[in-house]
Amino acid sequence: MRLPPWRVILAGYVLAGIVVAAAGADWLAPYPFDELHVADRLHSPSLAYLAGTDEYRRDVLSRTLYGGRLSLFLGVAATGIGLAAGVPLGLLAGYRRGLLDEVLMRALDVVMSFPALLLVLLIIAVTPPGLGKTAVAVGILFVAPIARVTRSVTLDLVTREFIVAARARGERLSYILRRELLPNAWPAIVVEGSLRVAFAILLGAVLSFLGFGVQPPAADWGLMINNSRDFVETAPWLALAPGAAMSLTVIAVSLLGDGLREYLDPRLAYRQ
Amino acid sequence: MTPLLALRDLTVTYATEAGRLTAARAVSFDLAAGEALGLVGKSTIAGAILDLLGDGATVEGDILFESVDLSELDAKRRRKLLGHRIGAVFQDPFTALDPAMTIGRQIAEPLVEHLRLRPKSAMERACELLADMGIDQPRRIAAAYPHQLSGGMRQRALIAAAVACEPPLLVLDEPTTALDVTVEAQILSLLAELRQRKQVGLLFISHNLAVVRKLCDRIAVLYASQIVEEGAAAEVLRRPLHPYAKGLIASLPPLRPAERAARLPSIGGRPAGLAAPPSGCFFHPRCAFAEPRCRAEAQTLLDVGSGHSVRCWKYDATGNWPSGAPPGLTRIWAADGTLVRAVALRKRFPAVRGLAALNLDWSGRLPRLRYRPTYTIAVDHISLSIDAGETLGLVGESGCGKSTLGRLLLRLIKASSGTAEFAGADVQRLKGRALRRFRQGAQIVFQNADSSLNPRLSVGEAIGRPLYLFDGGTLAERERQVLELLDMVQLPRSYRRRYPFQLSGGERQRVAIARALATRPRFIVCDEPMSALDVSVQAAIVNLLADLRDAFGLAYLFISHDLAVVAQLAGRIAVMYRGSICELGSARDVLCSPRHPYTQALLAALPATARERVSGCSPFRARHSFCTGRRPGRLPFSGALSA
Repeated sequence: MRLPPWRVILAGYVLAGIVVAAAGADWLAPYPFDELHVADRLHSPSLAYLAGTDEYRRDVLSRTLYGGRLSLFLGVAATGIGLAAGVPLGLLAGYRRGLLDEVLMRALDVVMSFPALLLVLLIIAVTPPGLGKTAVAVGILFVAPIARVTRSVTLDLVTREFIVAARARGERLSYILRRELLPNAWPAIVVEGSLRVAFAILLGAVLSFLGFGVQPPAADWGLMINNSRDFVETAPWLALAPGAAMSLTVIAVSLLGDGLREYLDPRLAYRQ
Repeated sequence: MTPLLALRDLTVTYATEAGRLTAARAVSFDLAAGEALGLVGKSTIAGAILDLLGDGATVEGDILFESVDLSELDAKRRRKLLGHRIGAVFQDPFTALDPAMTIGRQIAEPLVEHLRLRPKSAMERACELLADMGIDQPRRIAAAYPHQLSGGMRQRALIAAAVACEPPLLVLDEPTTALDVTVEAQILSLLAELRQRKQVGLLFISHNLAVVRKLCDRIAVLYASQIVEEGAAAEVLRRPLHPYAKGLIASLPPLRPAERAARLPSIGGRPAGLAAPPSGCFFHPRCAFAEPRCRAEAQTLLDVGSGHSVRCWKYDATGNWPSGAPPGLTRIWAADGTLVRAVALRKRFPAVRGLAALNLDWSGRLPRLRYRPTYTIAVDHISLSIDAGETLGLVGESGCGKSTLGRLLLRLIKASSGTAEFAGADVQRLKGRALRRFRQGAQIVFQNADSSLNPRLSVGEAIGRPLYLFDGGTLAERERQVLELLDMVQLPRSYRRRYPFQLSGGERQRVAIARALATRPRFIVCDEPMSALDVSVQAAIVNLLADLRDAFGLAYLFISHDLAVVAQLAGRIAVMYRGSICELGSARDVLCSPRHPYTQALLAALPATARERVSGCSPFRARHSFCTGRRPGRLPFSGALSA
C-alpha cells in the first residue's frame, strides 16, 4: 500500500474532528444552542463562555458546534448533488461534442447568467423553507460550473491518442468516460469540488440572512458571522468561533482534495 | 587565439527526490569564431550556457565566452549578453513565439533592448533581417502574427530574432526537429549561409546525425552525461571509433536497397541512468564489444590525433557494430491476398460552418439568407490496397492528409464518400458482431508516445484491457498473455506494474505496440511511430515491427515523413501530396527512379548523409534536380516548397 502524503492525513483528521464535534454537539456543547443567559449579554470569552455570548445572551461556542451540522450538511450535500449531475454531463458533452454539447452548454449558460442568489431564491420560493430544499437548490446551481470545468478538461483529453486507441478497439461509451477520461479529469474536478463546498457554506449564510435558509433561533456559521457584523467593534469574538470553524473546514477540504489528487496520480505517488 | 566559447569541466547536477542526477559530467570543448560544432545528445549544455536550467540545477566548471566566465557573472550582466552576444533558437517554432505579438515586434525587441535603437528604425531593421532570411515579403510577414505563418516561416523569424544583434555565437537546440524534410533542408542551408556571411559560431544540438553532418565541421557525441567521442564531423561519421557512435551511425536506415539488410543494427538495453550510472565505462552494459575490463575501469578521453578523441580504451580494436539479429520468431501464416482496400475514399472537413456560414445573398430583388459552409478536402479520392503480410509506406509532409487516411481505414472518422474495405467488407456498414471483429482485426499505433498511453493505467492494465475485451479468458490466462506480449515487444516482465511516466519514449512506444497486438490484429496503422524517438531506439522498433510482420503476417500502413525509415520496412511506397496520392509503386522504383516531381523534391531535400546512401541508384542521380524535362514554373507543389 502506498502511504498518502502527510497533508491528506492531517486534513483528514482535522475534518474528522470538525464532523465529530458537530455531530456530537448534544454532548460536547456546554449549553443548549438556544439557552439564554440573562445576565451575560455580549459577554467576552471567559471560562464560563469559552467563545463569549451574543447579543441574545446565548453561548457562541455551543451555537458554533450546533451550527456546524447545518453548514457541513449544506456544503457536502450541495456539492455532492452538483458533482453527481455535473461531472457526467461535462464528460459526455466534452467527449461527444456536436449538438448535445451545444444544447447542454447553452442551457448551462442560461443557468449561469442568473445571479446565483436569485436562482436559488427562485427554487426555494415555491416551496416552504428547509435545509434539504436549500441543499438541492444550491446543488442545482452547482451543476453548471462543475459541468463546465469537467467539459473543458475533457475537451483537452479527447484529442489524446489513448482515447483514440480506446475507440479503435471499440470500447463502450461508459468505459471511455469512466476509466479513460474521469481519472484524468479528476484533479480539476477535485479542486473545483473543494471550492464548491466552501461556496455552498457561504451561500447558505446569505440565504439564512435573508430568511430562506436556517430558521432562527437555530443558526449556521454563515448566519452567525453575518449577525456579528453589527458588533465588530464592541464584540469581535462573535465572529471568531464560527469564522475559525469555517476557515478550518474550507482549508481542510481543499487540502484533502489536493492530497487526494496527488494520492490518485501515479506520477506523484511514486515519488521517492 | 582564444576560442569564442570554451567549456572547461562543465558539470551539471540536479537535486531531485530520487537523488542527485548528473546530466553533464566534466564536459570540455572549444568553439572557434565562425566554427560549427554539433553536439549529439543532451540539451542540458545549451541550458547551462543560456542560464535556463532553473534553481534545481547546480552548474560547476567554467563557461568561457570571449574569455569571460559566464557562470561567475551576476544575473543582470549575464542577461545582457544573452540575445545581444549570444543568440538562441529552440526546437519548437510553434511555441517559441509569443502568439499575441507581431513577428516584426518580436524581432525588433532585442534591437531596442540591447542596441538602444528607436522602435521605428528597429522595425526597419527587422524587415531587413526577414529579407535576409529569404522571406519574400518581409513587411507583410513583419505585420503578421505567428499563427498566420507556417512552421518553416516561424523558424526563420526565430532565427532572424536570434541574429538581430549580430551575435558572434548562435546556440541551436534541435531547431529542425519539428519541421518537414523539405523545410528542414531550407533552414539548414539558411544557417550555413549565415555562418559563411556573418562568421557566426554555431553550437548545434541535435539527435539527427544527418543534419549535424550537413551543417557542422566538428562533432561531439555524448552518452550518459559524458562526451564519448569528438572530432571532425566527416571523420567521426565515416569512421566512428567509440562503440556508441558506431551503433548510432549503424542504426540509421539506409535508403539504398542494396545496402539494406532485413533488420537494422540496433543498440540494445536502456540508456544509462543519470542518478547511478554503471561502473567503469558508462556504455559497457549495452556495448557489443564489452569485456570485464570495461566494467572495472572508468574511461578517459584519449587523444587519437588530428583533433579526434574517444573515450574507449580499445577504440582501435573494435570492428563494425554487429548488424541486426535475425528474427527470432518463425513464420506461422500463409498469404491470403488483399486485406485492406480503399476505393475512391474521400474526406472533407468543414472549415466554416454554423452561424459564420450564414450569408445574405443580395443578388435577387430581396436579400435572402443562405447557408454556405466551406470545406477543406483532407483526403481526395484515394484508392489503394494492402495485402496480408505487406507493409505499405505512406509519406508526405505534415498536413497532407496521411493521418486522416489512416483513421478513415480504421473507421475512426466517417468518410465523406467512397469506401474502405477490410477483409472484403465495407467498414462503414459494419454493425454488432462484425464491427467487433473489425475492431479486433484493425489496430493503430500512434506518433506521440507521450499521449498514446493513459497516464492513470499501469502497463499491465493497458495491455490487459484489449485482452479482456476480445477473448475474455480467466484473469490468470490474461495475466499470462500480458507477460507474453511484454516478451514479444522485448520489455522486462516486471514492467507490467509500471506507469507510463516511468518509461522512456521507446519503451512507451513498445507498450503501445503490445497494446495494439493484444487484440491479435491483422492490420495495424502505424501513424509516424518513430517521429519522437532517436535513431538507436528507432532502429529497435523498426526491427520489432518487421519481426512481428514476418511472424504473424501483419499488414501495416506505415505513415511517416522519413523516407529512409519507410524504405526499411515497406515493400511499396505511396507518396501523398495535398490529399491525393501522387506516386505509388515499389519502394525501389519510388526511391531510385521517382516519376512525380514532388517525390523527386522530397528525395532531393534529404540531408547529405542520407542522400549519399542513395547515390548508388544511378537513375536518381540523373533526376534529383527535379525539373529535368518539365516545366518548373508550373509544378503543382511550388507553394509548399517556398514555405
